[in-house]
Amino acid sequence: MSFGKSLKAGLFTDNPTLVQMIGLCPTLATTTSIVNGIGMGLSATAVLICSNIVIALLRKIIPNKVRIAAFITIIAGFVTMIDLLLQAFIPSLSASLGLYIPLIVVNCIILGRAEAFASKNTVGQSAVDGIVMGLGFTFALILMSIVRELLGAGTIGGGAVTIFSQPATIMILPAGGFLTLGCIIAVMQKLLKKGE
Amino acid sequence: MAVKQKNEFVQLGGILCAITLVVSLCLGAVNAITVDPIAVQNKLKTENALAQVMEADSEEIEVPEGTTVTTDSGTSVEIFSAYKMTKDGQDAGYCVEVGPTGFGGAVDTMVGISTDGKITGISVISAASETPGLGARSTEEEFQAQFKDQPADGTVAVEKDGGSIVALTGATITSRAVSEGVNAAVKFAAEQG
Repeated sequence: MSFGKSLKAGLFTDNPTLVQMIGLCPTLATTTSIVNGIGMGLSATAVLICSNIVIALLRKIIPNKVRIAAFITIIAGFVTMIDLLLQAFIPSLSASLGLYIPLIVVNCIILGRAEAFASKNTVGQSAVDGIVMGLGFTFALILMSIVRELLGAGTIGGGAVTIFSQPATIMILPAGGFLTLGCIIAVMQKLLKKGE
Repeated sequence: MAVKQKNEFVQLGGILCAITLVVSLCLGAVNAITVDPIAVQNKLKTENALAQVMEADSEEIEVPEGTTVTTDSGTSVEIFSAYKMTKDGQDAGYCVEVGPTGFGGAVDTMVGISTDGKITGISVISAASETPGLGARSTEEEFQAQFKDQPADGTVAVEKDGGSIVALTGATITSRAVSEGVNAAVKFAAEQG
């Protein structure tokens, strides 16, 4: 499969969040502002690429019976490293994402791709899969956070641009997350049906 | 059969052990690189907060980890750190870093208390566990400015509780927590003499 085709699958037809419906917890939790959405998306992408590569490398060594334990150990290792690196070198992002970084460990997209793809394919293919699935996740987070930040806080990009001053606060609360996710998934399904 | 099964266990355990070992080694390496920058970042944050609440020289007071103060209204607040402040050789009061419990966790706040019984200012260092756009707005200047010159007698409270602090819209719990944090800081400073 060419990179372009994979990218299209990751972003649209097989989008991890909007079509495969995995990794919904961080999607709902972190999309209260665009900066957070992009930060979470890219951090998870970095972990996904690293873990996919390593798991593909080790796919013949890791025994089937203990594969989940091995995957989780590797993923947790990468997440902790990224957490420490963010704290040390990008403290502002670490402050706003603080709570969510450890959650990447249990992000089902990463374990899901390790199990469904990286453990059965070559290193190159797994790296590409990590990139496209990560970008698909980031794309979904950006869509969500644009809608929620605009309606819920009346701003775009963390208060840089104020659109209106009487926002509907519910949109940045958990309920707004569900509302937005539902609407975006509905639109996505409609567009995908049309495309078939 | 028994021997074969035993071998399999050894093999599985061995591989898992090897993976864990390698991951731990990598983690150790990353930790070695980042431990100093992280300490610098944390120190910088505290220093900025100190400078914001009181312009004076600070000397850290030893606070045992897990120290808590119970305010008059019965809220238990953890004390993170405390500083004795001096200006031109004169006693200038105390700065106390408190962690009152907000909506989602501790709201890390630095409180300055002058010798003449007033709050010199507060600085919310981190409200990362509060709701973005609501409680997390406690880090904004406008909210914090209200605490300046409040009496340091443990009566700081939001309007709803009979005080004069205007709570953040939709974030009474966070606003209340910060107020209680200020009261706890005052009590802790008073205990220092």
